[in-house]
Amino acid sequence: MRTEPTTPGARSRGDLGTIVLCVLFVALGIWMLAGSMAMSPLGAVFPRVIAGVMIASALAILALRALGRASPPAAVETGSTPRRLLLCLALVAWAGLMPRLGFFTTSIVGFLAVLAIAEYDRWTPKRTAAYVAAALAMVGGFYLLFVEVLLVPVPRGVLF
Amino acid sequence: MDLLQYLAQALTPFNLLLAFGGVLLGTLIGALPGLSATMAVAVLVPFTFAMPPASGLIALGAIYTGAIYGGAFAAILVNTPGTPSAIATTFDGFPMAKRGDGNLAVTLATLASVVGGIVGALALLFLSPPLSKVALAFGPPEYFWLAIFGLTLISALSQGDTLKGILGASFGLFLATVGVAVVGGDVRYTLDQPMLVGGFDVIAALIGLYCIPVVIDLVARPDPHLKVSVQAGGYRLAEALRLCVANWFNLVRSSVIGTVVGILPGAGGSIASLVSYSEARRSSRHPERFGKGEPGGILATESANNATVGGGFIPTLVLGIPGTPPDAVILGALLVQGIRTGPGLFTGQGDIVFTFIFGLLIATILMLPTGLFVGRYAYQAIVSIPKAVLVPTVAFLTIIGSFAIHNSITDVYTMLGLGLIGWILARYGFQPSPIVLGVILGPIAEQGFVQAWLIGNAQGNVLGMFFGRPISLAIAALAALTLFYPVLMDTLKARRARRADGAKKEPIDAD
Repeated sequence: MRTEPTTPGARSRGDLGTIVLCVLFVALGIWMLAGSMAMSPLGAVFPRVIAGVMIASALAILALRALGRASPPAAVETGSTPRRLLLCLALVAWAGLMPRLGFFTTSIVGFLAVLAIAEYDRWTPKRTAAYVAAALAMVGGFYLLFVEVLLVPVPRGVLF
Repeated sequence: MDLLQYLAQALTPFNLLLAFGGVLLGTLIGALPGLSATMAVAVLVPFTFAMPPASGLIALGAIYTGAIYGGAFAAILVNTPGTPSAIATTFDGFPMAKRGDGNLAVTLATLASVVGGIVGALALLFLSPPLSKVALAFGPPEYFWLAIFGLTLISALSQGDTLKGILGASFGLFLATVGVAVVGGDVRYTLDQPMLVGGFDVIAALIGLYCIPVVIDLVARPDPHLKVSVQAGGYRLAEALRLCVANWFNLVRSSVIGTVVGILPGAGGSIASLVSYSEARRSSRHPERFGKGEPGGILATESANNATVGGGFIPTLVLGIPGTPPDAVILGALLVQGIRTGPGLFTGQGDIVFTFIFGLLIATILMLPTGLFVGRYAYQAIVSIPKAVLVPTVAFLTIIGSFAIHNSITDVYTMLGLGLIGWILARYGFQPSPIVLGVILGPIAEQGFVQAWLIGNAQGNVLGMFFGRPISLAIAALAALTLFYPVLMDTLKARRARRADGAKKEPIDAD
C-alpha cells in the first residue's frame, strides 16, 4: 500500500508525525514507570523494563532526527483522506450503535455506509440493487451462521 | 502388523468422511478472522460425543488441522491472519497476492501445511514417548528465551527502521501488561475501567492491527485490491512444487521446529511459525527478500504451524498436558469419552490412539485436494469481488469475528481502537507486526522471566538460572545470532567490498 511521497510537504509531515508520536511514547513510558510504583516488585519488574526500552528507543529516534542521521520518513499514503476519515467514523458508529440498535440492523446500515464510501463508480439503479442484495446476502448469511449455527448471542438492541 | 490394522480402521468410509468433512469445515472456519482453531474445535466437540472414540477424535483432529491451515487464506488474500498461527503468513503472503501471485501463495501454503502436518503426525506416531520428555525439559527460563527469540524477528519486520520496530514492540508489550499480571496478580494500567481488567484480547488486537489499516487504505483509491496474474492462472501447482523442492531443507527444518514447539505446553502455532520464519530468513541467501513476497517465508510459517498439530498431541496423549489451546479442548473430549491419557495410553488403548493418529495423517493428506479446491475459488472470489463490496465485507467480518471471541462488544471496541491506533502508527513507519509480536509474546516472556527470577532467587543463582541451562543457552545464542546476523553480514560485505576495491587499485598504483 505504501507509495512514494509526492511532495516535500509530505516528507516534513512524516517527520513531524514521527516526532509527535515519539514524544507521546516517552510520555507513555513515564506514565508506565509512575504506575509501576504502586505495584508489587513481581508485577512491576516487567513494565519497568518495557518502559525503559520504550523511552530509550523513542529518545534515540528523536536524537537521530536532531542530528540529521535519521532514516528517511515513512512515505505518506496518497489517496482520498476524506474517505479514510469517513470510513473511520462509519466504523466507530457501527460498533457504538450496535448494542443500542441491534446487531442485524446496524450491520446492514454499516455495510451499506462503508460500501458507499468505498464506491468510486457512478451509481446506477442496477448497481444499487446489486449492492443492496450483496449487503443483505452477506450480512444475512453470516448472521444466520453465527446466530443459528454457532449460537453466538449477538446484541439485539431496540430493533434486531 | 498391528499398525496396518489400525490404518485399515482409519480408512473406513465413515472415518474418511469425517476426516474430509472436518478438514473442509476447519478450513472454512479458520479462514474467517476471529474464528480460531480453538473455537472451531470447542464448538464441534459435543457432536463427537455420539461417535465411537477414534472417529470422534479423527473429526476433531481434522477440524483442528484444517482450521490452522485455513488461517492462511485470509492472511494471504486480505492481510488478516484468520488464526493467530497465520500471523507470519501475512509477511510474505499478502505481498505475493498484491503482485498477482495470490494463487501461487495459496498453493504454497497448502503444500507446506500438508508437509508440516505429515511431519507432525509421523512424529506423533513414532516418537511420542521420547519427544514428550522435551516438554518436561522446558522450564520458565527456556520459555523466556523462546519468547525473546520470537521478539528478535523485530529486526526483520521493521523494514529498515529497527528503532521504530523496537518502539512498536515495546508498545505491544505494554498492551500485554494491561490487566491482571500473569504472576503476582497486580491490576495494571486499567484506568479503573472494568473492561480492561481482563487485558486486551490477542485475537481482537491482531484483527484490529492488521485489518483496520488495510480497510481504511482500501477506500482511499479506486484501483483494485489485488493484481490479477496475467501470465498464470489456476493452481500453479507445478511451479509451487518446484519451489517446494528448491526449499526442501527450509520445509523440513520448519516442520521439525513446528513439531518441537507444538510439544511445549502453551507455546502453539503462532510461536512456531514466528520462530521458523526467523530461522528461514536468517539462513536464506536472500534475507532481504523476506517480507516482500518471498515464497520461502510462506513455506516456513505454514509448515511450522501445521506441524504443531501433531506435535501438540504428543504431550496431550503421553503426559495429559495439552500442548496447544485446541489440545486442551480435545483433552476434555478425551476425558468425556472415558479415555485416560498418560504413558499407558499407547499400550492400553492403542486401537483408539493409533487409529486416531492414522486418521489425522489421512486428514492432513486430504487437505491437499480440499485446500487446492477451496484456495482456487477463494482467490478467484477475492479477486473478482468489486472493491466496494469487499471493503464492507472485510469490515463486517472484523466486527463479527472480534465479537465472537468472547461474545462481548468490548472486544469489538478493542479491535477498532487498536486498529485506528495501528493505522496512525503505520502512516509514520511503525509496522503492525512488531506490535502484534509484543502483544503475543509479552505474557510468555513475562511469566518465564518472573518465574525464572523467583526460582533463581530462591536458589541464590539468578544468573545461572538464565544462562546456565543448556537449552536456554542454545535458544539465547540463536536469538543473538538472528538479531545480529544482518549487521554481521553487512559488516562482512562492506569489508569484502573494501578489500576488492583495494585489490583493484593496487595494479593502478603500480603503473
